[in-house]
Amino acid sequence: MTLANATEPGRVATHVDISDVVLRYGDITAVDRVSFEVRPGEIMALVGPSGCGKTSLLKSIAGLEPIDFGHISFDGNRIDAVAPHRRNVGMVFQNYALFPHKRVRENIAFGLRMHGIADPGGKRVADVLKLLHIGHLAEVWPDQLSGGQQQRVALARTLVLEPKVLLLDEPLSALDRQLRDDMRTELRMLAKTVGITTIIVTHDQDEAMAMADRVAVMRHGKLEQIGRPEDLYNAPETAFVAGFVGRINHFRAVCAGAEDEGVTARFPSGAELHLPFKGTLPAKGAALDILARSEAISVLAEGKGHITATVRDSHFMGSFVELLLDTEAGDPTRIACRPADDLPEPGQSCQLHLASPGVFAFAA
Amino acid sequence: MIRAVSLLVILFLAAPNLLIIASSFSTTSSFGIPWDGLSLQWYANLFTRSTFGSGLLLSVGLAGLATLIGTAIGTAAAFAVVRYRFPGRGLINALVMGPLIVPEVVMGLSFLIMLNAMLLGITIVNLLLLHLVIVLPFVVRVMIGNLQRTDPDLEAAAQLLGATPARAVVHVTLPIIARGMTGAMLLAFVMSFHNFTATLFLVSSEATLPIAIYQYVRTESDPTVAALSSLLMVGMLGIVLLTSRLMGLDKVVR
Repeated sequence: MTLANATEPGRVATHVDISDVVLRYGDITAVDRVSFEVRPGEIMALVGPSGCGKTSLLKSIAGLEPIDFGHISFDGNRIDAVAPHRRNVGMVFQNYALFPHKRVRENIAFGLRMHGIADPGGKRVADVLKLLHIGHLAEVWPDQLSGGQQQRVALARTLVLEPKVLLLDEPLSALDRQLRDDMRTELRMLAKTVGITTIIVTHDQDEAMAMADRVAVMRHGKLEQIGRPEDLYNAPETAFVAGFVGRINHFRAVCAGAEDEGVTARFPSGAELHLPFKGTLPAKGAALDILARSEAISVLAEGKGHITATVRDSHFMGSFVELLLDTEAGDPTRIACRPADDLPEPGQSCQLHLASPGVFAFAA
Repeated sequence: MIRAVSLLVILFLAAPNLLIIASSFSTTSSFGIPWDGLSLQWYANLFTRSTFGSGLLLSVGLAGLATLIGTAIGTAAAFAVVRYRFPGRGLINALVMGPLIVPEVVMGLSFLIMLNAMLLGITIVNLLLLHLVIVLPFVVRVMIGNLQRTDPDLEAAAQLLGATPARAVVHVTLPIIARGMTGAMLLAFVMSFHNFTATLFLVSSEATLPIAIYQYVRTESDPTVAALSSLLMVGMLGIVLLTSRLMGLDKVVR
C-alpha cells in the first residue's frame, strides 16, 4: 500500500478507542475519565479552552504522555503501553518541529530511514511531495519556508509513513488569517483523500466545526459533549457547550414551573416561555440561565416580547445589522438582524422575542 | 567620535599583548620595545628549555582530557537540568555553578587537602579532577543555553517518526547542539589551559605551562617568556579562527 493508491478500496482506516483515560501531573488531573471512539476515517476535533486537557490527551494518544488509568486502543489492540516510536502515529506539532539541520527531502525521508524502509529512487518521498504540492521545495532548508510550507512539510513527513492515526495539534494557529481559511478546507480534503483517522486539537470552535466530522468539547479535563457540529449547535447539553460552540446571548430568568422534560421560564418583564430541559428539573423559583442564538431572537419595535431592551449601538455589517443591546435580563447582548427600515435606532427601546429552536434553558 | 573611542578602547585592551610580542623580538635581555633592532634569539632560547616543552605537553594533554570529559559530563548535566524536573535539580545547578563563585586559591587549597586525605598521589589524575571542576561550570552554562533554545518537540517528532529515544538524540539533538558543544569545548580548553592559581597547589615535579613560565620568570628576567607568550597567542588565535571558520563563532557563543 502506498499513498498513490490510498483511496483505492482495500485500505482500512484505524478505529481509535479512548476508554476511561486519566492523566495526572502531580496533583493536577489534566484528563479526567474521558471516553470516546473515533471511527475509521473519521475526523474528530477536540476543542476547549486552554488547560482543558485536550493537548494532554492528544499527547497521550501519541505516547508522549503516559496515562495513569484507562486504555487507548487502535482496532481493538491496546497501545497505551507501546513506546511512541512503535505506535505508528503521525503527529503534526503546533510549531511543526521540522528538523532545522535537514533539508525538506531529508526531513521527509527521516521516518523511512528510522524504520529501515527502502525507498528505491525516492519514489515514496516524491509521491508525498506531490500529494502536498511541495515538489519544488525538496532541496530547501526549513528556515527558508513560510509557515504554510512548513506545515505541508510536516504533514508530508508524517504521511509518508502511512500512520494509523493522524494527530494535528492546533494545526492552523501559526498561520495568518487568509491562509488559515484555505488550509482548513485543504486539511480536511487531504485527510479524506488519504482516508486516515484524524484527531485535531484546537481552541477555535469555528476551526473544529469546519474541519471535523464530530467535535468533542472538553472542559476542566472532562468531556462535556461529543457530537456532530450541528448537534452541538442545536442541542447543547450544557451551558458551557452552548456558549462555546457558536455565538450565544445570555439572559436571566426564574423557573415558574417544571413539568415532564421542560421548564417555564419567567423573565423580569413577566413574560413566560416554555423550554425543554435536560437533567434534574429545577424547583419553582430557582434561577435559570436562558441562552439564545442570535437567529432565535426577533427584535420588535413595539408589541409584546419576552425581554425589554435598549439599543446602545448599531453597526451595519453588509449582509446583516449588528445591534448592541442593554437588557434588563442579562449581559449586554449582540444580535445580528436582517437589515430593515423599522429596526430601532440607538437610544430607542425595543422588545426581544425568543423562539425555539436556538433557545436553551439551564439551571443557573 | 564613537569610532575613535572604540578604537582607543581596543588599542588599550590590546596594548599589553602587543608589547609582549614586540619584546619577544628584543636584542637585549630586557622587556620593552626593541628600538635598536630585531632578533629571534629568545625564540631560539625557548627550545633549549625542556621545562617549556614538557609543560606544553602536560597542559595540552590536561586541557584536552578535561575538555573531552568535561563536555561529556557537562552536556549530560545540562540535559538533565533543562529537560527533566526531578528532586535535587536545583542542587545540581548550584553544585556545578559553585566553582564560579569560590575563589581559585580556596579551591586549589581545598583540593590539596581533600586529595591528601584521599591519598591520591598521581599528579595527572589530581590535576584532571581539579580541571574538570574548573571547566564544568562553563560547559554546563553554555549547554543549558543551547538546549533551552532547542525545541524539545524535535525529539518527540523524531520518536513519532520511528526513532528510539537514543537515536532521536543522536540524529536530531546532537547535530543541532554540535555548534554549542564546540563553543563549550573551546571555552573549556582555554579555561583549563590557562589555569594557574588553583593548579599551583597540585603540581609537584611536573609543571603545566603557565606554572613553568612562572617558575622561569622567578629566576630569569629575559624575554624568553615573551617569545613563548607570542607563540601561544598565535596558537590560540589559530584555534579560534579555525573554529569560527568551521562553525561560525557568532553562532557558537551567543
